[in-house]
Amino acid sequence: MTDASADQSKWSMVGKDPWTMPIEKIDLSHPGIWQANEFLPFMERLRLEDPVHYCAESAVGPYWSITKYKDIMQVDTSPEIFSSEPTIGIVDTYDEYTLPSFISMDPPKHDEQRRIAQPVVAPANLKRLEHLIRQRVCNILDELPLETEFDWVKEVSIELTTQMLATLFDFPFESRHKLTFWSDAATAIPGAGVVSSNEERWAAMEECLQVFTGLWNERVNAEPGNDLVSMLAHGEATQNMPPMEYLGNIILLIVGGNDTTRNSISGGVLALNENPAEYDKLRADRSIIPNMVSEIIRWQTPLAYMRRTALVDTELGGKQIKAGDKVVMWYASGNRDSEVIDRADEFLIDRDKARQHLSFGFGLHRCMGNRLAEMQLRILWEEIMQRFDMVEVVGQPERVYSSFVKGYTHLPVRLHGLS
Amino acid sequence: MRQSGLHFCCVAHLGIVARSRLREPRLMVKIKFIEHSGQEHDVETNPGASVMVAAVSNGVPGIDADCGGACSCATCHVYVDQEWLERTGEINPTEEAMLSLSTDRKDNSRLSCQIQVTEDLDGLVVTMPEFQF
Repeated sequence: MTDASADQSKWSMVGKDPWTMPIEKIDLSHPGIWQANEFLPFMERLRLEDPVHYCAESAVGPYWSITKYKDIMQVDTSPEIFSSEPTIGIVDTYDEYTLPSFISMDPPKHDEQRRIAQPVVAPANLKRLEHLIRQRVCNILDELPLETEFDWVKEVSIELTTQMLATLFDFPFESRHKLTFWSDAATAIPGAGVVSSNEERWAAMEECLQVFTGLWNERVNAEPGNDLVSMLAHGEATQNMPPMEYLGNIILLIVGGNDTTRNSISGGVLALNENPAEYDKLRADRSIIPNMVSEIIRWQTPLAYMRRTALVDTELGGKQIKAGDKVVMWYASGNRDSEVIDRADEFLIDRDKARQHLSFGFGLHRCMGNRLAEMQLRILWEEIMQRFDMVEVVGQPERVYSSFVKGYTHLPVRLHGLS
Repeated sequence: MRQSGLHFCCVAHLGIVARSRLREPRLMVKIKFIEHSGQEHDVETNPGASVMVAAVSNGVPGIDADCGGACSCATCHVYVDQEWLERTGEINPTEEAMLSLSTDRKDNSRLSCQIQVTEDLDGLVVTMPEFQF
């Protein structure tokens, strides 16, 4: 696969030797090594030799890479030092494209907004959704062809998560593909296959705002419902929110629930294929599924990083971080830190303490949708195991061109039924 | 000769330790964990670690402790029986920040990783919420 745009290729790390190149030149931010699946040794070297690493020059400017589990925890649980404002992405946002949402806010505003949105994905509500989710999973799986090659990403990972999102928003079911498009557009690098420019991306965001404003106007005058739009329209802290903030929170919830779950669905299939002894364990004992779900999420780490900005001068791992510095927590690296996670570079579906991983983050911003994601994956694997002896990967996976969204654009598979 | 000297020191040291242990007997602390369903689990644990660790290391279901005790996930949430609440101590600011975001927070909510087991808490009763989130 080629780079998305020619002027970024000088920054690409693809082809460089992670162990012999000058360590100060290591730049994890460039999407090249992520798409090429070559990122692991670069992160390993940083963990070993320079765990709090300053990258002085990159396509996104200078930034710190935090690669060890304990240091990442330290940053994640210190919001008074490491702010989530103005953005949690590595690219510094420009004003006209800024979409405020509580993921990129600090307390107290963060807390006010999160409290409103949280109930829609709280386990009590999920219990009510379980039946519907299972129905959707069964419908999708029952339509899949046996002994025929198809793209798991398109037919299962994307389709299932899109249907889930439509349910959460009570979005018109037949237009649900727009949720996927808007979500992908929100995080895509222009030129990587979703939108070709920032202008095109902004046009997509405008359309999203229009449609959701329509839904808001419908629901604000109706009885409060269990869907996300209704909760925002009726919530005391959110009912007067400015349109850009509303759009930001909608996008947050769509994005949060979209490619992350999608890529865990794909990632689990790939991991089991790459580790056949683990697939054997699963076949022998389906009660391992909940534990396996956590291990899949660790293994995949669907969002490779989260970014913070230092509010004050501070020390971390012996290095001096200055106020204003960009600090990047590489969850994908912390999740492979063998100092904290036993046999971290092995995919083990029955491991102890499987829930103790960084993929959802920790602290105030810990992923609000974590139980929903786990529930979807659990139900999916329960139903897969009822139907197929194997979901076999039959070709090379293709990965997303991004150092943030860690996932798959294509995964060719063939299904084998139970004998 | 050096060997027997060392041997003598070891024996003497053990003697001192044995005597001090006899002077201060260690009390195992009893904690009752009650699941949302009403199912009870009686645990005996050494003082020093957290209530969360006492639950997890004794296989008590209903406490997830995703962050391993770092006060950063709020999935070790428990409701402390009113008569014990004050004895569990003050809620620290980090715990308060995490609890304040919890959907099931009540007056007697605590994060069990922040309650240290002491002999004072012998007989402690806590109930788990229906869900950890």
